[in-house]
Amino acid sequence: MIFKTIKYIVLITFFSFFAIGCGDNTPTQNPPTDKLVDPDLDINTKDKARFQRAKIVFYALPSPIETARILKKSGAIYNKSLLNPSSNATGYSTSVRKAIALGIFVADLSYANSFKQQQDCLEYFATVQKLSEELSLSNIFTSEFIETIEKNINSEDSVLKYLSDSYWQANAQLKENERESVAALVAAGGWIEGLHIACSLVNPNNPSDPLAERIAEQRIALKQLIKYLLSFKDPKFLQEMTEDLKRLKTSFDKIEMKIQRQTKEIDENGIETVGSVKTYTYPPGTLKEIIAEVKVIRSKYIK
Amino acid sequence: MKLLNYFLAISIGLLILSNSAQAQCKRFTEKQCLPNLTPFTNNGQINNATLFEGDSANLVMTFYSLLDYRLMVCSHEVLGTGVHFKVQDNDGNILFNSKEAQKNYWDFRVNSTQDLIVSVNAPENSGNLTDIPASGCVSIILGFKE
Repeated sequence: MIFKTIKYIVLITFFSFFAIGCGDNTPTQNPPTDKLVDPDLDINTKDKARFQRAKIVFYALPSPIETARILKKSGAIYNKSLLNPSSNATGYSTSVRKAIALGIFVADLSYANSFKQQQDCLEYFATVQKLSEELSLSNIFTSEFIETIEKNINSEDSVLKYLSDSYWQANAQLKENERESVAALVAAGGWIEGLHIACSLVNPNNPSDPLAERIAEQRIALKQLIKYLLSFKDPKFLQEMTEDLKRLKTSFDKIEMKIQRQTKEIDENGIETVGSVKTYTYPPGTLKEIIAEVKVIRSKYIK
Repeated sequence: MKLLNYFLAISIGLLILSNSAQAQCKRFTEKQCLPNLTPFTNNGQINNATLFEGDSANLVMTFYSLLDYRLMVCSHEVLGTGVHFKVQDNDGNILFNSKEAQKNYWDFRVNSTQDLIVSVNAPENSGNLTDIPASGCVSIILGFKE
C-alpha cells in the first residue's frame, strides 16, 4: 500500500513539473474571478490558462529595519531601557507569541544598530538566533553567522547588511514553507516595537515634535498591515493581533490629514522626489490615546 | 482507501511543486536581483511570485519620507524581456514607467510618507511558440539608504 502511494506521489510530482513548470503559492492572491467563458469559443491552451487567472495582489509588509533608520533621522535618542530585555526570550510558549517576539527583537536589534550600539547588537542577534531556531527557521542565524558578525561588529554598515540579508532569508524561508502567517506576525511585532520606541520618546504634549509626525504617518502602514492580516483564509492564528491593530486604528483614524499635491522634482543627482505632501493634526488627547494604546498592546506581547 | 491514497498523493505532489517553485524563485531573487540593489540596503521584505505570460500583479507599498529608495523588478528570462512595471499614486497619476525609462529600477524619494501602487505586467512572450504559457519568477525588491 505504501509503495503504491509513493508511486502515485512520484508520478504526480514528475508530471506536474513537466506539465506546468512552476506553480504559484502566493496565499495573498485574489480568488479566481468569475469570468464567463463561452465553451464554444475556440481558444487555445494559453488563452484558457490566462482566463482562469486573476490579477495577483501582493501586500508589502512594514520593515523594522527601515523604521529604526527613520526614528534616528527624526531625532530619536538611544535608550536601552525601552527595549524588550533579551532575557524575556525564554518565556514565549506558543508559536504566535514567538513570531511576534521575533519581530520585536528584530526591531530592537535594528534600533541598536542604527545607534551603533555594537554590544547590544550582539546580544540581540543571539536572542534572534534562539527564537528563530524555536520557530524552525534553519540555517539562517547559525553559530557561524553570529561569529561572522562578531568579527565585523565595528562596521555599522556590515552589521546592517547582515541584518537585512538574514531578515530577508527568514521571510523567504517562511514563504517557501507556506508559513506566511508567521511572517505577518513577525512584521506586526516589529511594527509595534518601532511604534513603541517612537511613542516612548515623543513629547506627548507637543504634537509638532518630529516624532509625533512619524507616529501619525504610521496610520498608512497600519492600514496595509490590517489588510494583509485579514487576507488569510484561516484568520484564527492572527485573530488576536488583528483585533489589537483594528482597535489601534480607531485611534489613528482620529488624526486629521491634509493632502497637498506636488509636482515631481529632480535633484542634481537625478533622484526624483514624488508624491503629495501630507500634514497631520492631532485632535486634543489623540496622541496620548495612541501612546496608551500602544503601551497596552506591546506589554501584552512582551510578557 | 484507494481514493484516500489518490488524494494524499495529489496533495503531497502539489505541496512539493509549490515549494519547489517558491524555492526556485527565492534562489533567483537572491542571485539575480538582490546584488543589483547596491548601494541601497534591502529592507528585508520579500515580494515575489511565479507569473505566467499575460499575468499582471499589483503591490501597494508604503514609502517613508527621509529615506531614498531603489525599487527594482526582476523577472526570470523565460518570461522574455517585456516584463515592465509602473508606479502610480493614489490618484492614478503615473510616477514611473519602466518601459519608458528602459530600466528595471527606479531611484526616488517621497515628499511625505505614502502608499504607492506598483503594477507589474508580464506580456505574452512572442518567443514562446508552444501552447503552454511560459511562467517564471518575478520579484519586486526594495532598497533604502539615508
